[in-house]
Amino acid sequence: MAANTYLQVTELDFEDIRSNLKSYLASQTQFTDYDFEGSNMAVLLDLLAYNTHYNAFYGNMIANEMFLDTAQQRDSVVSRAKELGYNTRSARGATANVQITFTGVSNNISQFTLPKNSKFTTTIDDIAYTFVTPEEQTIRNGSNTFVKSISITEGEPLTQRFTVNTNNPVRYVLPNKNIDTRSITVVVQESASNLANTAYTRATNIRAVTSTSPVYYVQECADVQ
Amino acid sequence: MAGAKEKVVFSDLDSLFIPNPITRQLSRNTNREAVKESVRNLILTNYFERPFKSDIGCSIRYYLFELWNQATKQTMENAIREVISNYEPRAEVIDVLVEDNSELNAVTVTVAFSVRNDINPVILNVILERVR
Repeated sequence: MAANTYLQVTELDFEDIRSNLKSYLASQTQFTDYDFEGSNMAVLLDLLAYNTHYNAFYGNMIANEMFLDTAQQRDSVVSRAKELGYNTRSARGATANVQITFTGVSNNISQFTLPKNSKFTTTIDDIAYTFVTPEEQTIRNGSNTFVKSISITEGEPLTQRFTVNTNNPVRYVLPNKNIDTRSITVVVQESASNLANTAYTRATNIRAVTSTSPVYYVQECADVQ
Repeated sequence: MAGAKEKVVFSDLDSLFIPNPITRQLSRNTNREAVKESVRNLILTNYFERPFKSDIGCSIRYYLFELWNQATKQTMENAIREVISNYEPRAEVIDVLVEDNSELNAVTVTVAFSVRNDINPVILNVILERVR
């Protein structure tokens, strides 16, 4: 075996890795067929170079994803941001300000309620969009006309039910992607037979929370959920 | 000179990877055998089989699914000549013969070539048959 058996390990590309392996073999005396594509040695070199390239790429990507500056996947960025106490913003539905005029309403009525999540649909360029009222709205009778300007938000209201888990901490993963977290409401029912329920609010200040406060926290987890 | 040891110009690993029972070293192919093995590898390599080198090979097995006629036979022979000419500079093809071996449901490929700087021709036989 030749004395000079240095193996360059600084390359990441397939061809460069293969070339380094060849240079290494050239310093050996046992084999002399690494230059010919059909040789068994060339097949082995390809395999080694491919494996090394694969691991190098994998290692490079892992290192990239470990830092906020270089992470490319959203999950990695979200995870790094959590370490800094930053909660990433969720997707947000587009908001439209509209004026609604109700006709055919009896003049005897002084006011009525437009429920939360009332749907409005529109079609633009053959694409249908659904908007909903994010809050309940009260429409009042103004000289026998029922008109109100409101904001409606794009999106589809969904309900997800979980059985309360007494583990601590516990997390409930909403299985839908791109939820507008501003629209989340949490209501906890006492039991299957007792329909009494408690509305939970989103905690924003940890100093205002006690062990019995009806609050919930929101964090993005994997796959934009 | 009779009994003189042949100088090893080309050497390669044996594809069977069987160690020598005495020395426990992997056996090697040398000179003509090394080139013969290399030519066999090239003939049996399909395009896109080798990573990052999609054009190495001749995809000879794909022709097994073609109609068997003179044109297919000629195309196979040309493909074999081309791959050897492109990727095995040590071999100079003398002749390529592709024969139907219908009793065995196979095609027999015979390649006669000479190794550079060696006057003795080498005959390589490769039998191509379906794998399932």
